[in-house]
Amino acid sequence: MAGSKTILFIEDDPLIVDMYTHVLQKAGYLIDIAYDGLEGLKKATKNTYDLILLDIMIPQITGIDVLEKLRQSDGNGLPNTKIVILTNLAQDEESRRALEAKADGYLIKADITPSLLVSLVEQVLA
Amino acid sequence: MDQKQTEKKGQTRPGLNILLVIIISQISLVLILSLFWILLRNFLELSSLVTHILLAVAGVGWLVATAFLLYQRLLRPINLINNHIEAIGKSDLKYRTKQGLPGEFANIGTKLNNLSGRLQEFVSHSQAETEVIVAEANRLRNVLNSINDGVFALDRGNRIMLFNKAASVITGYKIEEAAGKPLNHIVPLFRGNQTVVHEWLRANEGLARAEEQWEALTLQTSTGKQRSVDVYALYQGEDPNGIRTLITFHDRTAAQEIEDMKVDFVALAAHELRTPVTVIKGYLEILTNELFSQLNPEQIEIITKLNVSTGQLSSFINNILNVSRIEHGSLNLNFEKIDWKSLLTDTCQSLYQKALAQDKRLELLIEENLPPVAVDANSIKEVIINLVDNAIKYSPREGRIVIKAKNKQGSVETLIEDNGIGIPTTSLDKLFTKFYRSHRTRTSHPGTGLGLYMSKGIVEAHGGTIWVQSAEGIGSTFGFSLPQYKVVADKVKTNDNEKGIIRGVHGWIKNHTLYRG
Repeated sequence: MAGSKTILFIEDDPLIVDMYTHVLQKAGYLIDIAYDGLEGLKKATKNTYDLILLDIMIPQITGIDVLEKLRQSDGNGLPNTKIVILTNLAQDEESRRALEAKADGYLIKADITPSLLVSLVEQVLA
Repeated sequence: MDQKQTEKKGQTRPGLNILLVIIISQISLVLILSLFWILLRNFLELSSLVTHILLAVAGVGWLVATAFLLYQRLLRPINLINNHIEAIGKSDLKYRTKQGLPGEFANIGTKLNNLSGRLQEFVSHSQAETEVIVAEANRLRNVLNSINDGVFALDRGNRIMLFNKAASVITGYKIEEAAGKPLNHIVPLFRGNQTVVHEWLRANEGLARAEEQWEALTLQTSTGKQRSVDVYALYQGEDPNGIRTLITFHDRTAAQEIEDMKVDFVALAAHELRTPVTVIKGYLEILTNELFSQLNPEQIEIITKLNVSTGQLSSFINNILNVSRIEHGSLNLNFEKIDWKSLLTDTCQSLYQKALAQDKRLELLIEENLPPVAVDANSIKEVIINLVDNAIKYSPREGRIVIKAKNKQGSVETLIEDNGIGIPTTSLDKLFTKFYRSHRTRTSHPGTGLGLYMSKGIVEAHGGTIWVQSAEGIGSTFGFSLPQYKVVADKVKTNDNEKGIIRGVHGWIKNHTLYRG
């Protein structure tokens, strides 16, 4: 699909990946997947994505570290790519502040049904 | 020293006055003898020598006789009485003057003996009384010190008057260190960062009587360690002993640690359950959306049942996680300025469907211009879902559930009314306790007995209160109040609405006003 928006999904649980990918693809997005933090970072810097969906508890390096790297202001960061955290961790005050400064959204998996995710992604990329 | 000196000064040597009398009497004797001598010489014409000898003999005899008499009748008894008085002076109350003193002295001796006897009786009596009092005090101290729970007694200024051994062991302070100091300076008792006991003590000013209990308060010891204690406090406005408040506290740290481990385990298990449940829920939704038109009524019913069960499982897991956070004191509420009407409306969206599916009606009556509240959207959403869910569950077919929200002074009050089976009076006070399930509903309605306990914890962590009114067969009304944003604005750290972050009940995204969870 020409002109389709691209999403990088960094998430280690294949069931979660498959489920959300299924609906996002149906909605017309191009999905790329990374199953750990390092792979995610590599893909994010090599290719260009409109949105990165990022889990926090992932192997190699955590989602927080990936976020830090992607939001570096030394020219290596990706200031124009939207990044939304999609995790099961409820945040404490401290990490909430840190995340709010850098991420474009924070969603709790347990509360996000596939159709809700599609509508939220639409809003973020609108 | 001073007293002894004055005693000596004022003391007259016994017998001195008597000696004076003797000397005077002797002088008078010499005068009489001289007269006798003149008589003997002039009228009896005795020789000078014989006269002298006779006179000498008579004189010596007289002297000896009077001296003896004086000693026996006067000096000796006075001396004996003096000894007795001195003995009393030296607290020798057993001293007795011997019977048989001459004349008047016999009487004085007896009276002195009686006096000594009475004194002895009095002293031994008061000694016995003192012993009883001391023994009683020791007994009470032993009892107090043998209790494993800490006991404080506070005076009217909430200063520590009494402090038992357990209190000393638990807090790490010695009684000398604590005595006389305000309780709050020595052992502040916290819930979160609020000194709840201190606040309570201050609120008691002027009351006749008040009592209160707290569970799992945090007590800071002298070394800065934290211990978990259950506290009972009794305040009495008028206490003749000067004790205004008695505080007893039970150290539950060890039990708490075991409890925490259990909670940790449960929280871990629940957390691990979340992902699979998310997947089941998600695929169910996908399946429903994609296949719905092709399904026959029987299959649709199966899908509906699957959805209901997954919903129950999911909310059960949420409840467990919330309860474990409440009990762990790690609820981590992020208070925000929230428009109560939209949060209530959003949260009720999914509940409308649920009610409709059971032929029940859900109505929202929200007062216009409600002031914003300070809440943690995620947790308070759980409270609304739990209360409304219960109302749906316990309503009859075609029942009506009304959700009302209105402005009360300083807070916003939300009521969830149903015309369901109601709750027996005997169950009302246990309703908000953990795992409580009414006997009547235990078998007929699924549930965990965690929902109301969790709701209470969350509402109270917001600084609000939760309550219930019910009449059997007529229905129940659950209510809770939440502080208005302006009342607690200084405690709410960030105001995200001004930073362009829009929060929904499922998380947040930036700069998108449309998002409403």
